[in-house]
Amino acid sequence: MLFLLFQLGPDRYALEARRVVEVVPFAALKSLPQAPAGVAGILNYRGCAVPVVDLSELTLAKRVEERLTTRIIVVRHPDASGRARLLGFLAEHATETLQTDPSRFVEPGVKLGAAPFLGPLLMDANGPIQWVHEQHLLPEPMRQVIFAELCPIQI
Amino acid sequence: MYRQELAEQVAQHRRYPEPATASAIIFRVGNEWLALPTRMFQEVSEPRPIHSLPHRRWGIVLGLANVRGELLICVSLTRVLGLEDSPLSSWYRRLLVANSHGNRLAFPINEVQGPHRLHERELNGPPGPVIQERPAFVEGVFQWRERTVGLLNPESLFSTIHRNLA
Repeated sequence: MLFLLFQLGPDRYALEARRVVEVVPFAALKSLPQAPAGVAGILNYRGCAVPVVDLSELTLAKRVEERLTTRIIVVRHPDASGRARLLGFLAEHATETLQTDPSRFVEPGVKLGAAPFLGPLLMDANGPIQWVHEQHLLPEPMRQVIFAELCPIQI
Repeated sequence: MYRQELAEQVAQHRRYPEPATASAIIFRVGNEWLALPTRMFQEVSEPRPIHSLPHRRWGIVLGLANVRGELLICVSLTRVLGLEDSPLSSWYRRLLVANSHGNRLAFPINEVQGPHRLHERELNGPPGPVIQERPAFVEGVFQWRERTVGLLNPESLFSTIHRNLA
């Protein structure tokens, strides 16, 4: 199975590649001053207005670093009624992929806080990589706000 | 700020090639519009003098032309395809160099139109003189700017030409 790797702070994460529509550079976003913390803005993605969430701000309360390796990961994400919408995640070091057996990811056995999007861990030479279930990344109230109020646009 | 430039790039629609399409270069030989798959297309140059070969004055081989130091065999497509043969000088404006599996041939032509993306379903329109005369060389015909263009089959074209040269 192919995974897209990225970082939040020093920690490494993996996202199933098949959930990814495209990985694009950290392009200029249209800002939304009234949006909740964690919403970085709106990206013009191939003619569609796609909300972009700053994963670092959402999980670490620290804005993502504007590095050359910072990317916007565009995924398909269901809105409240289950329709597929596009959503972008800002993530650092989102430039590598990993081809591996999903069974190598193992439950850590330690409750790592109330983070429904964090899955099992894989240990490699550089440390742990945690599987991210991106469909659970957005807190429900934020999902409502983003798709219903900020970007009521269907793909 | 460079991020603004990136934003402009990301805003562009990605052009995915449609399935079952081919890319062909359209060109004119005499009065006939023809096309060859783009992959075979090596270059188009200004017309070069064609040096006729002593024992090959008739037939499809017109002679040799020097293209960037390489002597290429020039073939008359009008004769291969059985088209109306008019004097070369009246329409020879460009030399098309085609490459099929390492074999290079040069075809004097009149003009060239850039790559055209052709969908499978466009082929096999109404037949024109080309397809009637030499059906083996023509994969099909398609409409382009109100003209009928014959898409040539490079394999049969090249193999016939090479047999003729032997």
